[in-house]
Amino acid sequence: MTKAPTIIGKRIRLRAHVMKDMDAFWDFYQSPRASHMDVPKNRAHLWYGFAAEVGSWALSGMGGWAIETDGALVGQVAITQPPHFPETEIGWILFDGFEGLGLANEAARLALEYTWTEIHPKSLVSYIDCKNTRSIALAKRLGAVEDPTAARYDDADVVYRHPRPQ
Amino acid sequence: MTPGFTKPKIPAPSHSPDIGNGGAASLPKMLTTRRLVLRPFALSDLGAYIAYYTGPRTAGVGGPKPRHVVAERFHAMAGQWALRGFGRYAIALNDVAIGHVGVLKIDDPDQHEMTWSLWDAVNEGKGYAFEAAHVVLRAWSGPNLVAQIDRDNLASIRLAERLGFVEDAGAPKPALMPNARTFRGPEALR
Repeated sequence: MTKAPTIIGKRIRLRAHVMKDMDAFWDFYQSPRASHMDVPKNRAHLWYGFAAEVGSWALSGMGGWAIETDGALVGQVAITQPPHFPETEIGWILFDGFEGLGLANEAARLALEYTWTEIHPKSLVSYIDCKNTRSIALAKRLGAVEDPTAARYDDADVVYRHPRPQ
Repeated sequence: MTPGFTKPKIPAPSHSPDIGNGGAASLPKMLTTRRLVLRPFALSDLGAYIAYYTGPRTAGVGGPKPRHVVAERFHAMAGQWALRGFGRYAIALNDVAIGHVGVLKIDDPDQHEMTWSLWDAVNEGKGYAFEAAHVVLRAWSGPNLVAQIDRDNLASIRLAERLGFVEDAGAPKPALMPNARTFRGPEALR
């Protein structure tokens, strides 16, 4: 798998990133919506992070997907484990104007199904800033449960553990 | 052409379709030289790259850097291929990656930058970097290349000159490398 596979959902499509997606990430990181995230200092730093989530597919068979609905880029869902993450993570971003529609929920469910059937991580968590209530609410809706004992790289994060499907 | 250097055999271009760059620039996925294979990165190369980029050899290119930053840069080298249809190769000697070479392009307004690096000093002085960079320059199809080299990195400056790069003393200093000298690539090779 050298690129993210396309996955078709009811209202959304997960697809591989293309270069022009980066502009939407840049706008997102300049907005207050990114206040709970590690914001890149400049576009070069953003590029390294963005390109790494693309290159992760070729190297590890996991990485970032663009979330698209009606041809519009609405956010990202990603499965990654950089060296400072104790466990494999599923993370999501929804760009301004697309929240509250259940799109991140659908994207995360498609990504979770792919993760458990194709990637087979030892475990799967979401690291979420403790003040990011909407993201925590989504983790709970997906069936994840807070694990207060889990190791984390940022003390401001809570860790939600996603159950392996039976 | 340097005495004793065997002109590399360039395989017929088997360029992948360009993605997101309008077909303006490309490189084949693999290249071979007399002694080396230039190939996509594999996860098994990461350990050697981390050893290099967390160590003192990277002082002239913004390093050393922490492990997770180095891992991100490694993954980004692989990702650039998918995003732009060209990028940087692992330089493999007897199946082991000893460095990287190829064209870096970060943001869309940035220049196409020719880069080369041997990750360990034991592989210096054998012509590997020249051999690898030369075959990439011959295969490159795209805009003129630029090389930014730290003013103290004399071996790399000599290599740029052997490859036909010419200094552009008036070029603005790159923000991330204030001590860099800028060299412009050899159109004659293309």
